[in-house]
Amino acid sequence: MDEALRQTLTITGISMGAIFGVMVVLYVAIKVMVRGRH
Amino acid sequence: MGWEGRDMEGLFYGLRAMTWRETVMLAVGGVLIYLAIAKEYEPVLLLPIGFGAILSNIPGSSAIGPHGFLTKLYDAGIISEMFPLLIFIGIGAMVDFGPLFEQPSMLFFGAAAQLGIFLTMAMAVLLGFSLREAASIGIIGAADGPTAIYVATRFAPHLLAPISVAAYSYMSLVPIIQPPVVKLLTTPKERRIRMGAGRSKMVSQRTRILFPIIVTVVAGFVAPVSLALVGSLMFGNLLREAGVVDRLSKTAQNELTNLVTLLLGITIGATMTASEFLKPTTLLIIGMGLVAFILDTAGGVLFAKVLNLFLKKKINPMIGACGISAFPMSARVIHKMAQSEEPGNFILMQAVSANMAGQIASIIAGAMVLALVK
Repeated sequence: MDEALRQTLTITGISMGAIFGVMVVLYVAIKVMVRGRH
Repeated sequence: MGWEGRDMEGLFYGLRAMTWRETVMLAVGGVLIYLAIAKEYEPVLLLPIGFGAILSNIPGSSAIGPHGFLTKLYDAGIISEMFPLLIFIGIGAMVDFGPLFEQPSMLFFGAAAQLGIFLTMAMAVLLGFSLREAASIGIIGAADGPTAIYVATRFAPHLLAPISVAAYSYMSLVPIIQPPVVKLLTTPKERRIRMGAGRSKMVSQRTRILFPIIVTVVAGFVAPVSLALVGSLMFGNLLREAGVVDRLSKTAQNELTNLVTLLLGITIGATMTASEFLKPTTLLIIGMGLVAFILDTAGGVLFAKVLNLFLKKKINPMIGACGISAFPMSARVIHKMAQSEEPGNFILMQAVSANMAGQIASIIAGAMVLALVK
């Protein structure tokens, strides 16, 4: 496989993982912050 | 040569030196201005871009070149990355993350709808673009003009003009691009799924203040390179939510954003010189930008469909399409589709939440590209 394409696929995997990871943290943070109101 | 000969030389130079290439570019500028005025496609950007294109394509233009004011603006605002960051402060001050606090699960649709960026990047690599160029092209799929400009300035400044034009054009064409993709990937039954109005939660000011700080810290821990982008957006949002700096918040929302948008547009337009713009790669980039938007939409919708395989209470998969950053256009389009599929099906709250999540996710996607592409 072409080196650049291999790099791109690696970047895709890491990036999507990181984006979902950040969203999980924000989800938990919002849940915790908003829960205290009810 | 007499007086007349020496001083008349510069006159009519613009006309005499015109070639078909400049003529085409003047027409392109005219079309952008037409789309901005007659069709109201992103007029605040496309109008200055179109006029900038005209200014820069008249041979001998004093607006560009070493002493041209547009070249100086380009160096001061684009190369320095100041314009996109200042615009982010303004956008942050405009955004109310309230709906996201009510529907935090929508955050994940924002993440899923970034897939198109990376798939388009892979496609660009296969078409022969370098990794840095491919990353800049893929980021059109962020559906977020300032992020696209920011990444392209770093990685492929020579492609800035077509990337900017594609990013802003497609953002305004979301009502045309998204519905057929969504319809292709969903059944009428799925499009009629109701999601309920959702509980209206009182979100405290403390939560609203903490949120931009938490986002900045989390994004900064994951990718410090994201701090300029994320930090600018969240700083603007903090100004809005703090409640004690209304004057600054209003300035960021209005004067700052308007002034920078004006300068950004005309400066981007000035990069559309015939020698840089009239290349086969421009058409390729504009085509791939469209593909990026389509794949983003598909990524969000398919993610929702996969989730539905496991969820007892099904999600309307059209919500996934709102995970792109084109706010609030995408949310409006999808809500309208749900309404036309079944009158009374209100999914606006969820759509807006997913759309906001897309704004955050697209910036993180841009930051990841900046961090990982060498």
